[in-house]
Amino acid sequence: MTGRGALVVLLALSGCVLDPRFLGDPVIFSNRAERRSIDCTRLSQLEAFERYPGQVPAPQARTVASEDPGVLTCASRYFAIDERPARDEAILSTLSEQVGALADQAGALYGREAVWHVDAFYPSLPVAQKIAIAARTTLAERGLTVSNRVPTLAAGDVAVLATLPPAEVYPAACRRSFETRVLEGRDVFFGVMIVDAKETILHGGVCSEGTWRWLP
Amino acid sequence: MALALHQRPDVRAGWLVVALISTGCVTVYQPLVGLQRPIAIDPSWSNTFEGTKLHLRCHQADGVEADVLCRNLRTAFSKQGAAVTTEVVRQPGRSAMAPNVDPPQYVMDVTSRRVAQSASVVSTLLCIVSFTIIPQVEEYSFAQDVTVRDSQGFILAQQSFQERFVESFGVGVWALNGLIDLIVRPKEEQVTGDRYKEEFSKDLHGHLGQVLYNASVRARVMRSFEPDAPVRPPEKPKGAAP
Repeated sequence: MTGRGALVVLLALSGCVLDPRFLGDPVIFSNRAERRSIDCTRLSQLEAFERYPGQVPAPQARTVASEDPGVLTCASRYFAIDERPARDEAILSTLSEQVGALADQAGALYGREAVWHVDAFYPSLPVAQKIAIAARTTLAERGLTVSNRVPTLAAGDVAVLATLPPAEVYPAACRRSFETRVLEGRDVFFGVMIVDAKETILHGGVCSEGTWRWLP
Repeated sequence: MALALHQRPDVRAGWLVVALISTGCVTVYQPLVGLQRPIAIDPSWSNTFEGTKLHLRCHQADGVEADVLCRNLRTAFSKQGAAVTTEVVRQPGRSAMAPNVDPPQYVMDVTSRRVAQSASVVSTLLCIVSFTIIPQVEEYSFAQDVTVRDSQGFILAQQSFQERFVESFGVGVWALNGLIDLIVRPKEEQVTGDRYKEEFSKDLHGHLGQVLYNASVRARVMRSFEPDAPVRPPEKPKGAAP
C-alpha cells in the first residue's frame, strides 16, 4: 500500500470521515420529511454570539456589517408539517407575527381608555379560539384593557347576518351590536378573520360607536 | 529499474481519469425559512389568477441569475392564468417600467440572493488526495425577498424565504447515494440528478403564488370588497397612428 493510500485509510478509520465537513452534511442521509421538519432563522453573528455564547464565536471587532455571513439557528418543529390542514398550519405557524401586526394597528387607533373585546372568525373552531386568545394576549401585552367577554348578538340577528357576504356582515354586526347595546360607550371590538378559503393571511377590523373599519 | 504497476505515472493518471469520469454530485435541498410551510392554493390549477395582470420585477443580486428566475416565474404564473410582464432590474432602484402603459394590477418584486457559501479547503484537498472517495462538500444558502404592491404602490404582501443546498462531489458519496436511490429511495426522495431543482422550484413557485393570492385578497378587503376598477390603458394623443 502506498503512503497516500494509507493516509486515506487512516483518515477513514480515525473517524475523520464522520465529520460532516469531510463526509458531507448529515442532511444527505436524511429523508425529505426530516429535512422539512425544522424552522430556521438567520441571525447576525453578534446576535447569535449573545444568544448562544458557547456555540458561536464572538465576531471580530473589524467585521464590516455587509461581510457578516450571519448564523443560521434552527429548531425542530413541534408538529410535523402535514399533521394539520394546510391552511391551519400556514396561519398558525405565523400567528404571533400576523396577530401582532394587526393588534399594533388596532391599538394605535384608540386611546388607553378603550375597553377591548376580541373575537376571531375562522372555519375551524379550535383554530379560531387560538387566534382569539393570541389577539387578546397581544393587546393585553401592549397595556390595553381587554375584556374576557365576547359580545354576542341575539339569535335572530345572527341568523340574518349569516346570510350576508363578508363585505356587509361585519359592518352590519358592528352597527347592530351598538344598537342593541351589546357594545356601548368606550367599548371597541377587534375582529380577526379570514375572508377567503384559499388565503393564508389574517385580516383585522375594529368596531367602535357602531362603525366598522378594516385594518390595512 | 522497472516501477510497480500502481507506481507508473500513466496508470496513476488513468485511475485519476476513471475516478473523475465516474464521479458525480449529490445535491440536497433543504428549505429553511418559509418554504417548508404548506400552501392553501393549488398551483396546478390553470385559473387561479385568471384575469390578473402581474408585472414581475426580478432584482439582480449576488449569485443568482435574475433573468432565469424571471423567466421561470413568468411561466409558472402564466400557467395559472395570469397575464405576466417581466423586468430584470440590474441596478437597485432603477426600474424601466414605463408609467401608465397598460398598468398592471399587481407588481411583484423578487430579490433572490446568496446569503452564505461555505467550502472547506481541507475537504477539497482530501477529495483530491483520495481520488474523490472522500467527498468535497460545499454549502450554499439563498434568500428570496418578495413584495407585492398594487398599481398605486401600496404594499399588499411581503415575505421572505430561505433555503440551502448542500452539494457533495465525489465518487464515494455519488455511488453510495446512486445505489440507495436505485434500490431503496422512492422517486420523490432521490438525491442524485436534478431532483433538488424540481423540489425547490415547486416550493418557490407555490409560495410566490400564495403570496400573490394573499395580496389579491388583501387588495379586495382594502377596497371594502368593491369590484376591482378596470385598469384603463392611457389615452392615445390626438393624431397618433393607430
